[in-house]
Amino acid sequence: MHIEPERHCTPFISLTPLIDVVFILLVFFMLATRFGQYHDLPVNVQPADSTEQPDEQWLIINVQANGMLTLNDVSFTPAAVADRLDTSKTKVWVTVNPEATLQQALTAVDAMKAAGVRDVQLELLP
Amino acid sequence: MMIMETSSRRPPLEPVLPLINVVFLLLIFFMLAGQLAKRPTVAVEAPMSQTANGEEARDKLLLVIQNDGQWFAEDSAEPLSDAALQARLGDKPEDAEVRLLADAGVTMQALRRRLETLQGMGVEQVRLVTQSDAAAESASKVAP
Repeated sequence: MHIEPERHCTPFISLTPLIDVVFILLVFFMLATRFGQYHDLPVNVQPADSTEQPDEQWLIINVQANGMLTLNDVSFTPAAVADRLDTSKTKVWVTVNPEATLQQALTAVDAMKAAGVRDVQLELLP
Repeated sequence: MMIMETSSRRPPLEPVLPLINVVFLLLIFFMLAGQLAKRPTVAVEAPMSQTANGEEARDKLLLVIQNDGQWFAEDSAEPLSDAALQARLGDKPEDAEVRLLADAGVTMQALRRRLETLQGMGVEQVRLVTQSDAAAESASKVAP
């Protein structure tokens, strides 16, 4: 009986199913993942009369409907906060015009913090 | 001399391998860099804030406020009624913590109205959901 010697050749494995699965996984992760970091900002919903009110220690800045800030009847952009604020004043009370957007209010708070103000309170005007 | 090509010749694999490498790298990037999270039914753009640093409490009740002031539950496309909100808050609304995912373009007047509704129902703990630019955040962590 003649037995043929075993041929040593690597078996052919098709990569097509693997690529299909990896592509599907890639598309899933591309669509399902998000990259922005989400953070929570605590909000005080207590009535205004039961919470702290600004006294002379506080610098009161108003956020207008167009996003500009007003301090002592002088308007300026949030980017100019560092130039306008007295850095010795570390407590700023931000009042927000009802027509201003949430983003404008938070941009103003960000600008205060970036300018070195430690204590910033945000108040929504009725 | 005539050379006949045999039909058993394997297809060349070389051109496919770099593609697989790149796709694998992309897959690993998206798996590691992004985070999987449930998205609310109604899509809104959360406001950007670099100063909010509270941890994201994903297990709390999330309400979505569109830029026109309408609000929705996280898993519903129907505007939220007061009765439905009361039911979601449960028997002890003072213990419930509510997260508000308000659109960046919502006016403070509309936001205040919603906050007053929550306050009227006895809710004491409210959090505003903000998003920070991941690149800016990592840069601020590196900076002294």
